[in-house]
Amino acid sequence: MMTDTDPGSYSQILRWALQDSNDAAMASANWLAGDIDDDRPTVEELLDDPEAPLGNIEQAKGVFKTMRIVGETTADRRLGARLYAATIAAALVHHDTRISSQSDAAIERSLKALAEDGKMPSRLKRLASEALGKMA
Amino acid sequence: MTEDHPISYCVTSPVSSLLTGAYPPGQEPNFMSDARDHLNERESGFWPRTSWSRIELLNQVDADSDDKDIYEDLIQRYWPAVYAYVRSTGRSLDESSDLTQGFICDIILDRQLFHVANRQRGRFRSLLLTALKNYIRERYRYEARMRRGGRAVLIPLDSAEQVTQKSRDAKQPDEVFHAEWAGSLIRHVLDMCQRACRQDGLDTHWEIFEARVVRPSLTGEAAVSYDTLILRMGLPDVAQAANMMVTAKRRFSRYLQDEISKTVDEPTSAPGELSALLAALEGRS
Repeated sequence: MMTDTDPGSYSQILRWALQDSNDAAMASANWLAGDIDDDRPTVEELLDDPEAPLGNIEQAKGVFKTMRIVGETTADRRLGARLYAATIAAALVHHDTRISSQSDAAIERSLKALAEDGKMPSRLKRLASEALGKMA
Repeated sequence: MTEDHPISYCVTSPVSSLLTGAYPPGQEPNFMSDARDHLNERESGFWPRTSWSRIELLNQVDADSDDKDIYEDLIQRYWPAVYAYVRSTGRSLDESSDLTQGFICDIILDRQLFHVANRQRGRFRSLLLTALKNYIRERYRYEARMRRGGRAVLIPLDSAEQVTQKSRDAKQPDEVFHAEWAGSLIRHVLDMCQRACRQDGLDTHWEIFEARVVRPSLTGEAAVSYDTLILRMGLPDVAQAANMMVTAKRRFSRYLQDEISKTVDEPTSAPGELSALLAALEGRS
């Protein structure tokens, strides 16, 4: 055999650079989502899927909570905060479970901020609105 | 040398070896040492590393005493793609080594491919592949002329069928070239990223990235679990480790973008080259 080169794995690696150049903060968030759940390699797929296991949503909550603090840029930390709220919304909407010990007022504030953030994907904004509806 | 060429060693060996690009003792391909001998015979010249800016520098500076190291560095970077292309055209191991050596010595060193190259010609990857195809065509014509001068050679049908079969089974040579180009680029950037992480005190970030992402992606081995990693590295939790992995992965992606931007006419063309390379790897071009 001359070479075991697998163009598939090279393609996958090159795509990281393409993803990062498009939207660095979201690329990092998607890498974190894919690291938690191979079958759901983006935050939207992980958080807006009723079939995603609650354990994975809880793991995502921890990961985005940390991203909110240690993210490299302001954009990373801001996105981390929004996605942290999105994990709480996902657990409420898809599993009818509250995974945060924050007060209702604090949760509602962060869900509202997510629902109104024009830069966030529409699926996650809708998820936040649904969660707010459940809490009402 | 066995049929298992060092290229397969480079591709399937542990990541530490991938990163250094080293050969096991005594397994360096023959044409590498031949090229080195050739370099020893050269008295002057300045070899650009890989980027157009270096290539442009080539035409501005005088001979540099460190040229030999730079030549070697460049040959180490590009011979796998050249060799892989030649081999995938159905040529034997010896023929492929010979042609690769010929290309390095005749075109890259003697005809100074990089001295005549310029940024306006676009992608460095395309330039190298075109030069290689032209060289092979030239060699073929030369050898055909030599054959016409001698007695006719009858090719046994069985052998021809074997070659045809081999061509059918093999990937297209261009595809193989692009794959090996991508492999060399990735190995180089991984090496660069590892060194930068170490230098910046991000050893743990690198180790997590390597164990969770690099090794599984390149060698197919299973990713080390976060539980194992946080225990081994004394980290507080999985969330911390995952974010460290992402920091290293992002660095790697940035270095990859930078390296690609050095091989195109304008840095803004880098995403286009990245997309083109992806298309080539996936047989869409």
